[in-house]
Amino acid sequence: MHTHPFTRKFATIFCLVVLLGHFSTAAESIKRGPYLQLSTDTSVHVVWRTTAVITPSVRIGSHPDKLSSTCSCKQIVVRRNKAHHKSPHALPLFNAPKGTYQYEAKISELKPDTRYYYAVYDGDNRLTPAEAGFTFRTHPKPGTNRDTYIWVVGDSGTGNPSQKQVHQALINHNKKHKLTLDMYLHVGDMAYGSGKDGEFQKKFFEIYQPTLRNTVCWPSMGNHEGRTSRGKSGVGPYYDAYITPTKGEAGGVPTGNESYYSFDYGRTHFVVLNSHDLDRQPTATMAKWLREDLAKTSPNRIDWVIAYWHHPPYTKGSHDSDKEQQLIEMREHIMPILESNGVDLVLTGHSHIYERSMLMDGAYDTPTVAENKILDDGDGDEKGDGAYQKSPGLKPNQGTVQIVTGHGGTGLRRKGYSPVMRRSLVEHGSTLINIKGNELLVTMLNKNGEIKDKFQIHKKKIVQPTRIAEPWKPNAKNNTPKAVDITKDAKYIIPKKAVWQYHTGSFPSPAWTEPNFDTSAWKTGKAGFGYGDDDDTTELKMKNKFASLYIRRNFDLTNLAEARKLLLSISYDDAFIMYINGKEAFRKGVGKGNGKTARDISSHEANGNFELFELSSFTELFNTGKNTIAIEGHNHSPNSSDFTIHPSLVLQIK
Amino acid sequence: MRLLSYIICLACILWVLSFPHVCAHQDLRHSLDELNEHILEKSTPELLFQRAQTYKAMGKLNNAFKDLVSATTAKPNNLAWQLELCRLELVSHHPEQALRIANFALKLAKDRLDRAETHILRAQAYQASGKNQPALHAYQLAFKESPAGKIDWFLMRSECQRLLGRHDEQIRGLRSGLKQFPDSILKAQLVEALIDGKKNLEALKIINNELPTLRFKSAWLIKRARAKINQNDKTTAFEDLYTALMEINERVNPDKPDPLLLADKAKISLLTGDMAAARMHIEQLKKHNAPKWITHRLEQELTKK
Repeated sequence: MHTHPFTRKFATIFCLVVLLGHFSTAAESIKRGPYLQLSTDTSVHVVWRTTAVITPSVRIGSHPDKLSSTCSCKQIVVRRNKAHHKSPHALPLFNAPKGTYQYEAKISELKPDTRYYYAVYDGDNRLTPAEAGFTFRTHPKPGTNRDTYIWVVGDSGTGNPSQKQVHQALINHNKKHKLTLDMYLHVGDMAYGSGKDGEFQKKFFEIYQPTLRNTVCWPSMGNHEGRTSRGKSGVGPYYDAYITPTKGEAGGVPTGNESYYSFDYGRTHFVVLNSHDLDRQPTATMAKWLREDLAKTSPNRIDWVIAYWHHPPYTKGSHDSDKEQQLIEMREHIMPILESNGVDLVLTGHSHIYERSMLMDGAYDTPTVAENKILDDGDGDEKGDGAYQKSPGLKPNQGTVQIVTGHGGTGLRRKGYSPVMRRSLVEHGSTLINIKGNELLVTMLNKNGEIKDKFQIHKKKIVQPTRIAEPWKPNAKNNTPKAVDITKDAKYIIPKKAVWQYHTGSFPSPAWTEPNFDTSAWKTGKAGFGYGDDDDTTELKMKNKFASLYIRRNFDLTNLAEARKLLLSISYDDAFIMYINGKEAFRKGVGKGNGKTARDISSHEANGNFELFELSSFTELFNTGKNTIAIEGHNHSPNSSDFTIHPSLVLQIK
Repeated sequence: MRLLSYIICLACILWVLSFPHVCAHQDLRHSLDELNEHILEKSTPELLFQRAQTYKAMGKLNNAFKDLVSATTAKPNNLAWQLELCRLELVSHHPEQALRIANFALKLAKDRLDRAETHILRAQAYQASGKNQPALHAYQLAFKESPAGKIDWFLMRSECQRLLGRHDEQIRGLRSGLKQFPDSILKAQLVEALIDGKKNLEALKIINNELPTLRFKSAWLIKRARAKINQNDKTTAFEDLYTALMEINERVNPDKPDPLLLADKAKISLLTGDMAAARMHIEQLKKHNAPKWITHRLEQELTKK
């Protein structure tokens, strides 16, 4: 049959439009997910949402293109809002958008520790692309020794660039090191401001979709989810979103509710609590369940116990664990139960910071004290002070490490330093945990992909814990002046934002600190010096180039008696060495060496704060009349996201 | 001038829009400061309720109470607020006031779940006043409204039935609870009820199934000992009790003892007839602020002996 060319063209275009419309309709029909939930050694749940009714099924197989088994629609629970909900096997959705269908497919009879690929279908119509990203791996058989890799995030649910950067840093890190996550733990506040359905959609599911499609997220409820979801009733958008064990399906003791639960993975037992809106008393139901659960956790099949929830027992980040009821109760009531049952790691959020403790036990007082509660006050790094050591098994009271990982995306803050913390970092990031047999390794990965903290716990030999009477404190080092409180009765000898001579880009001659050193080739600029954080008057293009800065300035002292009342007031990130008239006075955060040979640089956040150091110990270095102060500033790494040196000199009058 | 007005309006809108985001990052004290400012400008019942919740989270129950009273006086027909006030009265050990509020709140409850929750609070208020019979009646009304119930409801009703000596009813109730919620605490409570009801063989069957699965066995060894004492088998009962005591002594933290472990030590002392030790453990429990229902129960047992 002869057809006009125009007709042929029109028909082709028409067919293409119809086909495009069909595929785009099919692609758009999944509004959330698919994502994975509640996995065991023989099963997993796949969850997704549409806004149109479909004939749902999930096909699985050993390859994305060979999906030979089907979980049919008869096995899939369908949930809708109350007015339209029919399934007797599940509660209706709390307040999902009108017309929502939530499908929850439990896929059973799987082999342990096996990788499967899956796709979601509407009848014969495949809704998910044939990509390797739609995959899951079942748990190993309970009690099996299996390396485990875990990602932990808290307080992320803002939808802002920092949250996305934290996620991307994880993806890049895994790609670089060829790692695959075994699970994703969230310690709460995953959907600001109130954990509404729409907030979950935008600030959790859409952002983490590349990970959620192949990694189960095991959640704990934060206070922001708690604005619309209720732990006692198990109702709300948080409970709509997640499927967690209630009958001990994944190991652990049944709870009868989704508000708190436990599960096993290999030889690690995870305990997840609700610190927000349930009774936290030691005689309440959750605490009673916790005792039962831990009493049943046998060292024959479990080597590690990790507990997590939202409100930290120890923090001085954006919250103060000495002043807030929920935090105090978790410390006073729940920590004794956990520590007497051999818990190894406690993960929390709520406080918008990264804090990590020393190896500790028994710190239940309010306010928190560290004396005689610390079992190892080192940095816990086998390449530093040494890994934390515990006896094999689940011995009571051999020490716990607390991690506050509430820095997943929201605004950060630090009120102070908790005496039990070894690290306190005000930067966005997340926590990675690697478990390999009798070694547990934790790292903090910041949003730039840098490792900013790491420690290990080893359970290789029998240990007799001893308590340290005066453990490590921040800023407490021998020969370093104590930080003091400034009084009103003082005047600036060198004010803030004063002009200094400065040099960077190369290492100056060792004589650079001497009063008569020729600085004609040096630049001048107003303090503070640095980059990043928008807190430097003189911006330096140091990033990715060099990691040190040298500044000097002259000043006058009327008489030497004044030297006893001098204070250095300095904002710094990360470390510095101060010289007076060519002689080193003291150093902060620089372990060894000077200038080119400086090393063992510690991380330190300035956070806009000025710390005060008495200089009375160095009176003999000063002269009457003209004096020269020189400071070399060091960055932890040339790739660091920021650097600051902003000194001033204060004379106390009274 | 008009442009200036538009700019000011836009700034206000942006400020208001930022509020949830700001709240997202604030701690309780900042939230309280903001609420105080808003209340100073214009106090509303809603703001007072919010401030009450903030005070409660900070542990400042007196302040929370004042604000809740103000909020409910202004809007007496808000059920959720009345129930919150009732809970606060219970926590503050004012059961009669709590009962008065719960009875008032019942008239406001429109659906079955609301009525059930209110009956539960009535039951708690009665029980706190030592009126166990009306408390049980209130629990039964709660279950009538919401037969599925909640784990805590089954546990509270069970305790009430135990106090009234209605062990058969207690056992039936807990079995029903276990069908709804396969929860380990309900199971433990059922075993206690079976022992109290002298159904020792059935209790021992469950206990002996449970013990091999446990790392820490003390709580269940004490249950077994109680069942065996009921059967006049004191020798093996005492063996279980001493094993339990050794395990507890290894685990209990002397500075901050777990109250349930201390209570178990007191139970062991009572069962072995060591009254002096029992009294000492009860005093320790009081010193560490254990709830009254634990110490009261142990003191009752001590009086019986």
